[in-house]
Amino acid sequence: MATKKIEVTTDTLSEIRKSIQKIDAQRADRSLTDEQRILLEETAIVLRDSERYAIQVLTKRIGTQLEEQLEPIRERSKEIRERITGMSKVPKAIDAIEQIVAVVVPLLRQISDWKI
Amino acid sequence: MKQLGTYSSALLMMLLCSCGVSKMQVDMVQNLALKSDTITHSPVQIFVNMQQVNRERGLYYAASLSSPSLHVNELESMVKTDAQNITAQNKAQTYVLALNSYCRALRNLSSETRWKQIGTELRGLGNKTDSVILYLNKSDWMDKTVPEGYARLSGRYSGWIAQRYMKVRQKKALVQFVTESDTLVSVCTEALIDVLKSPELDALLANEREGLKDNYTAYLQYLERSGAVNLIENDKLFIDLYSKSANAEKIRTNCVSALRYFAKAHHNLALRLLGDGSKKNKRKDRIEQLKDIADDLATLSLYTKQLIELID
Repeated sequence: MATKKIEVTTDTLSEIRKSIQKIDAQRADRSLTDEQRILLEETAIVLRDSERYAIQVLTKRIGTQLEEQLEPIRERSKEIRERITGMSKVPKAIDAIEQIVAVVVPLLRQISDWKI
Repeated sequence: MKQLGTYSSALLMMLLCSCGVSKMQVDMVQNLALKSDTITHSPVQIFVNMQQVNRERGLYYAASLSSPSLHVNELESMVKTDAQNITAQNKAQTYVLALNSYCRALRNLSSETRWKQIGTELRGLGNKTDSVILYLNKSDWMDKTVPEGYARLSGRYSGWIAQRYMKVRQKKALVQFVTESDTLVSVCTEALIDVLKSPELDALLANEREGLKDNYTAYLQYLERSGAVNLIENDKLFIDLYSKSANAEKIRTNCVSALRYFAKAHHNLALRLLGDGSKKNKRKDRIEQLKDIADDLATLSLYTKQLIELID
């Protein structure tokens, strides 16, 4: 059953709920015929679809609002990580030189052993 | 010896003028985090609870329909909505991940690796260079022998200086980032709190609470019309669901408190790093800095003694 798109506000859900309550109160009447009951239930289902749609819209809206606040914090985290990378550059370069020297030392030891 | 005296005095001045982050300040950074590791403080749990209540009350309502085809249509619609809501729920967690990622970046910045690493590398380089000189001297390649021990000592001195420099640089970076971010964190957390306390979330929470009562009533009315007896299990489930919807509201309150606490902790950290804290904390930080200076003086005097021995 297609649901007509409605503009969702913070009052939408309470309005839909009140409408469903009215329908349910009519459904409780034992004197209804089968056709009348089914008609009321079909109306109730349409309202339930509208309720689900409104819940979806509001949930998505909240999710988007939460996300929107985060961009500056993410930028700041990125800046900090870049600074850390900068601080690690020199130690890494010295480490690279040390690795080269570490290769030379055993070589020289070998050579000096041969000389002996 | 006069040059050695000048050199050592310069180092001493540098030592006294520059201080790194105190251990207590580092602990404050290491402990900074947004509390979200339990269900009672997880923003996703607010939406999970609401979804569970929504689903179960939907089942009650579907069961209250006398038409089988409408009953099945209702169930089908519920399944479609479930899948769509999960994506929206996961977005609720993103602010926790973003704030904790920021805290991890600060912890990384305040880690002692930032200043220790360079000292370790320079000392290692000094030691290895000395080993090269030792073997070069043993070989016949050079006419004159190169003095041994100086490279190792140079590595130690330069390592010490580099560590001092990096400590100062680390503190400067930490103070800069934390103080500059303090307003940002405050504004961001207030905005997140506004979203968590928004009329939209109020409407969703109220809808599940009231909708549960309405849908269960519709189900009970159907049972009464059809002459069936209500099972105690249905009432038990209703109670569980009602508690769940009440819990969703409590979790929201906890999430708001966690954000407020985080903003306050960040602000206190900023004050501490600027040296604007309480007299007690200022005294503790000063004592730590003096201990630091004493340790460095001991190291410096050891290296100077080794240098004098080498020269002699």
